[in-house]
Amino acid sequence: MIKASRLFTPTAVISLLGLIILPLGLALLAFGQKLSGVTAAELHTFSHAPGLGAATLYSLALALLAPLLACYWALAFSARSSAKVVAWLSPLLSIPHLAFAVGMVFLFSPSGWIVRVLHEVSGAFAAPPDWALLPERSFITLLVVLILKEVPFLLLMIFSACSQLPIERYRQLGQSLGYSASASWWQLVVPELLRRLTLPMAAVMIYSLSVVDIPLLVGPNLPGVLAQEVFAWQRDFSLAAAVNGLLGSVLLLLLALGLLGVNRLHQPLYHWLLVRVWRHGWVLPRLLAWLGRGAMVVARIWLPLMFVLGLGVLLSLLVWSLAAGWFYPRWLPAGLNAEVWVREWPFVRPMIWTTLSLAIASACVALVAALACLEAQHKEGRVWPQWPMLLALLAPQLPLVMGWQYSFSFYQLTPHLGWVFWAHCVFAFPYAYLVLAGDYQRYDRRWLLVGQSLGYSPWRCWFTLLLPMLRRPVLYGWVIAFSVSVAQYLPTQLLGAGRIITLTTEAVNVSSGGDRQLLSFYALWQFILPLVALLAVTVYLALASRRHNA
Amino acid sequence: MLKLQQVKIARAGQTLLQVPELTVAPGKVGMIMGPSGSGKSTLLLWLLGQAPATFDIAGQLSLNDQDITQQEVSARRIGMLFQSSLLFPHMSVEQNLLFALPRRAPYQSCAARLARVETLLAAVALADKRKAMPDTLSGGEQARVALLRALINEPKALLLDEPFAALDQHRREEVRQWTFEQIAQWQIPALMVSHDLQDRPALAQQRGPLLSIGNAATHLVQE
Amino acid sequence: MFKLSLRNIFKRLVIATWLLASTCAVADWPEVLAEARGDTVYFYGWGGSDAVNRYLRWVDGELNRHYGVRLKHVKVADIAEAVQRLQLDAAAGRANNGAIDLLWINGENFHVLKRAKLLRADVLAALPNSALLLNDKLPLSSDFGVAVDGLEVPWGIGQFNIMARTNSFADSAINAEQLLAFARQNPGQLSYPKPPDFIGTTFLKSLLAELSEQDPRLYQPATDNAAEQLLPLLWHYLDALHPLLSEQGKVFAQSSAQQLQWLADAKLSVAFSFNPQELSSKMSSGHLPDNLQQHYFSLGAITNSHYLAVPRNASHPAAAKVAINFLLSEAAQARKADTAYWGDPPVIDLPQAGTLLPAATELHASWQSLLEQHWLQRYQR
Repeated sequence: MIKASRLFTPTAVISLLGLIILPLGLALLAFGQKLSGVTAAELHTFSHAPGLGAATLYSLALALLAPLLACYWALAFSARSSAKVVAWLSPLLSIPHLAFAVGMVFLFSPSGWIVRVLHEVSGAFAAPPDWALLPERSFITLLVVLILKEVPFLLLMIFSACSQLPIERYRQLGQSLGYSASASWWQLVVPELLRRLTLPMAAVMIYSLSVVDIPLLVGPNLPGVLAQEVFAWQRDFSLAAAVNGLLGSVLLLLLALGLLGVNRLHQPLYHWLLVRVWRHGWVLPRLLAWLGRGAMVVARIWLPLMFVLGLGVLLSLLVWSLAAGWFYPRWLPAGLNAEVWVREWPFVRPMIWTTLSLAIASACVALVAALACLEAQHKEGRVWPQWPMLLALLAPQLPLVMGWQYSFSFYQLTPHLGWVFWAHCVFAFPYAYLVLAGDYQRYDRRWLLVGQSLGYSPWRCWFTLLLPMLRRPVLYGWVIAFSVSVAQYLPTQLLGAGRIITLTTEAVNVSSGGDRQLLSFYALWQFILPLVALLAVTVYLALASRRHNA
Repeated sequence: MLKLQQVKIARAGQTLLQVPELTVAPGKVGMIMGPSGSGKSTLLLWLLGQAPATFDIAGQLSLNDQDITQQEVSARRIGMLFQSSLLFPHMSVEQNLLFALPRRAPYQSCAARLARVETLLAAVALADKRKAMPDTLSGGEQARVALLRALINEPKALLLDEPFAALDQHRREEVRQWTFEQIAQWQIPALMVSHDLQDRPALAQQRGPLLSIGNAATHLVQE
Repeated sequence: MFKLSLRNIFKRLVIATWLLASTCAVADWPEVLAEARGDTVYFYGWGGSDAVNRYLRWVDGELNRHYGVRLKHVKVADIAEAVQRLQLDAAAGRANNGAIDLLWINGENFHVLKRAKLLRADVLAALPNSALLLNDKLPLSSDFGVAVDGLEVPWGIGQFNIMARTNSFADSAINAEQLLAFARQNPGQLSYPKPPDFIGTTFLKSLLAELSEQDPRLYQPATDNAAEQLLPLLWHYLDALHPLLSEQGKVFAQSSAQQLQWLADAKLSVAFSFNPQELSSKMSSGHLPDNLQQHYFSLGAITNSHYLAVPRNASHPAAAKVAINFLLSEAAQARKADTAYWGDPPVIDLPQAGTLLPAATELHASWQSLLEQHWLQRYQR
C-alpha cells in the first residue's frame, strides 16, 4: 500500500506541471511562434502607434503609484491597529473591482449621488457641476479606485507578516532607545515588513499594470493605459492590429519585468534612506513631519472610511438594481420595484451555479496544490524560491490568456468548461500559496513529531494536527482563491468561447450596454458570492476561537 | 531497556558525537550533557526516528532487546518531551490526553477512555483543568500535562530534550521531581538531554548513565 | 422601348431562376427541420442590450416549442471577439465543429469573414421566409458597400439618429453647423463615443458626408488621394468642435452605451443611436428621461442593415437555419419591431411597422478603418 504521506511530492509535482509549467509553456510556445514572423516594418509601425508613449507612461505611473501609495497607506494604518482588524477586512476584500468602480463613479462623479444629495439640500446644482471629487473617466479616478481596492489585500499580507515578527519587542526596543512609537514602527518594523511584502507588492504592481476592465470603465481613453490599448488591438482583427497586439503584449511583459526589478529595489532603497537618516542624524523638516502626521490621521480613518465607501457602493448597487427611472438631479429613483430581480432570477440561477462550482472547485485545487507544494518543500528539506510559484501572478494576464487561446486553437482543442476550470486554478493557486506560505513555513514541525511519537502516521498527524492548527491561513487562502476565481473575466470569456457564463462575464457583457440597472444587479451578485464565503469563514473562525477560549 | 550501540553523528565529514554503548534501565533517567551544537539534540531526534537529513548518523538502537533502528517514528513507541510543552493548542487538556491514549483494550469504550483520563488528571491534581485549553495553563501545568500525555501513550521509552529549561527556578525543582517520580512509577527507560547538571535525578535509584560530551572527548559515567 | 423590355425580361428571368432555386432549396426544408430537431444553436451576439437579450430569450422559447431547437445567446461585449475566434480557427485549420453556429454581424466584421471565406453560402437560399424580405425597399443586398452575395441574412435596420434634450435644436433635421453652434452655446455638453466605436465612427462619417457635400468618392473604396482631399474638411470641423466637448475633448465616452448613460446623468445633452426607435423604447422602459427629442442629420440618417450569418465551421448549421428562418417570420419580426420589446425596424413587410427616418447611404466600408486610423493619429498623441 502506498502511504498517504508519500503523495505530497507527486501532488506537488503534478501541481507545478499543471499550474506553472503548462500555462507558461503554452503561452511561450504561442508567442515564440507568432513573434518569429514579425518584420522590422511592423515593429516600426508599432512604435509609431498613436498614443503608445502616453499609454506606456500612464501604465507605468499607475503600476508604480497605485501599489506604492496603497502600501504606505496600509503601513500607516497598521502602525496602530491590531490583528483583530483582519476580520473586518474580509468584506472589503470581497468587493469585486468592477462592482467597486461602478459604485465609486456613481457616488463621486459630477452627476453622482453626493452631488444629487447636495442639490436636493441646497438646490445649487440644477446641472451637474464641472468639478467633482472624481471625474467619470480620468487617470485620477482609475488611480483612486485601484488604491482603495488594493489596500485591504496589502493589509492582510501585512498582518500575516506581522504575526511572524516580534512586533512588541521591536516597539519596546525602539522606545527604550528613545524613539516614539511611530518612529520605531517606521524605522524598525517597516524595513522588515517591506522585505516580506516584496512578493505581494509585485503581485499588486503586475495587477495594476495589466488590469483591463477597470480602465475600460473609468480610465482615460485618449489614449488609455497600455493594457487597454493592447486589449483593443487584440480585439481588432486587421492584420496590423494583430501584430500591434502581439508587440504590445511583449511590451507589457517587458514593463512587468522592469517593475519587478524596481519592486526589488524598494526595500533596499528604504533601508538605505534610513541608514542615511541615522548616520547624519537627520530630522524631518517640520512641514514634512506635519504632512506625515496628517497622512497618519487619514490612514487611521481608513477602516471606517472604507466601510462607509463599501456600504455606499453596496447601497448604490442595490438601489440601482431596484430603480425604475432614475435621472439627474433626482437623489432617489422615481420608484422602486423588484422587476429586474424577478425577471432575471431564472437566468441568474444557472450563472450562480456555474460561478459557485468553478470557484469552489478551483479554490480547492489551488489550496491542495499550495499545501502539497509547501509540504513537499519541507520534505525536500529546503524552501524553494517563491517567485516560480507565483509566476501566474507575476505575468500580466492578458498576454498569458491570449497565448493560451492561440495554442488551444492551434491544437484544435474545443472550448470547454475543463479549460476554464484549469485557468481558474492557475490564477487562484498563487494567491492561495501567497496567503498560506508564511504561516506554513513557520509551523513548528515538532508538533507533528510529537503526534508521530504517540503512534500516529505522518499523514494522520498532518491531517489532524497541522491542518486544524493552520485553519485560519488555510481557510483564508481558500476563500481568497475562491474570490479570485469569481472575479476571472478574460480566461472565462476567451477559453470558454463565451459559452461558460459566470456572474462576472455577464456583468462585463452587460456593462458594455451601459444599462446601469441591470449592471448593478449582476455586480451585486458578483459581490455577494465572495462576501458570503468570506463572512462564513470569518464567522466560523470567530466562533471557533470563542469556543476555544470558553 | 533502551540500548544504543556504536552511534556516530557526523556532519560534513566531521564527527560530532560518538557513543560506543549506552544502556538505560526501566524507571531510570539517563542523561546526556554537552554544550549547544554538540549534536545531543540530533541524537534524540535520531532515537525518535526522525534525524535531520543534513547529518550522517550510524549506529544501532534497540528497545527491550529488539533492534528498532529501521523503524518509523510511529512504530517505535518512544515518547518525547521538548523544552516547550507542545500541547496541541487546538485541543483541550482532555482531548490532548485522549489523542495519546492507545486505542486498545481496556481503553476501547468511550466511557473507559474518559475515565482513564480523568483518573490520571486527578492523580496529578489537574482534574479541574480537564476542559481547559493549553494556552490558559501555567507553565508548570503545561509541563505536567505534556508528561502525562507522553506517559498515557504507554511508550516503551521516553526522551526528554531540556524539559525544564523553560520553567522558572522554584517550579523547575517541583516539576523535575514529579517527572522523575512518574518515570520511576511507570517503569520506563528515559534519556534526557540537558546542559544543567542540576537536572540529574537526586535519588540514586532514579539515576541512569551520564554521558557528557566535551569539545575533545565523550565521557561516560555509568551509575 | 426595346431596351427597356429586354432589361425587364432579364430581370424577370433572374427572379424566376432565383425563385426556382429557392423553391428547390425550400423543398428540402422538412429535411432541415428534421435534422435540426434536438440541436442547440450557439448564437454569438452583442450582449449589452437588455432589450435584445430578453427578445432572444423569447426566441429560444418559441424555437424550442415549435421546432425542438434551443437558442443559446452567447453574449459578447464586442462581436469582434467572435470574428477573431473564427480567424483563429481558420489559421489552425479547424474546418468543422466550431464553437459558433450563428453570428450577428455587419460592416467590417462581415467583410473580413467574407474575404476569408469563413461564412456558409447556402443559408439565405435555403430559407422559406427569405421570400418575405423587402429587398426592393430596403438596402439589404449591400452591407457597407460590399455585396452580401447570400452569405448573410438581413435581420434588422439601423439608422443613425441623435437624441437631444428638448429645445436644444429647433428642427428634427439638423446640420453640422447647428451642432457646432449648440456646442459653442453649451460648452461641455457634447461628446461622442471614441472611434473605433461603431457609432462614434458613424458620427464622423455623417459629418464628412455633409462637409464634403456627399462627395461620390465616399461611396467607393477609399483611396489615399480621396482621403487627402476630403479628410481636412472633417479635421477643420473637429478642431473647432473638440475644445467645446465635455472635458475639452481630452476624454471621450468609451462606447455609445456610456454616452447614453452620460445623457441620462445629465452630463451630456446629446447622444447618438443606431436604432431609430431606441429613444421611445428607452423612454418607455425608464432607461432615459422623457425630456428628450429625436433628431437626424439633414442630409439623412446613415442607414444600414444588420445581419445573421452561419460560419463555415458551425457545428449545427441546420438548427442555425431554422433559427434564422424563424427570426425572419412575421411573428418574430413584429415582436422585434415593437418598442415595448426592442423596437428594431423590420426587414419584412409588416402592417404595424413604423416609418423610417429619411435615409442617407452608408459610406463604403473602407472609409471606416481609414477614418478610425486617421482620427487616432490626429487626436491621440
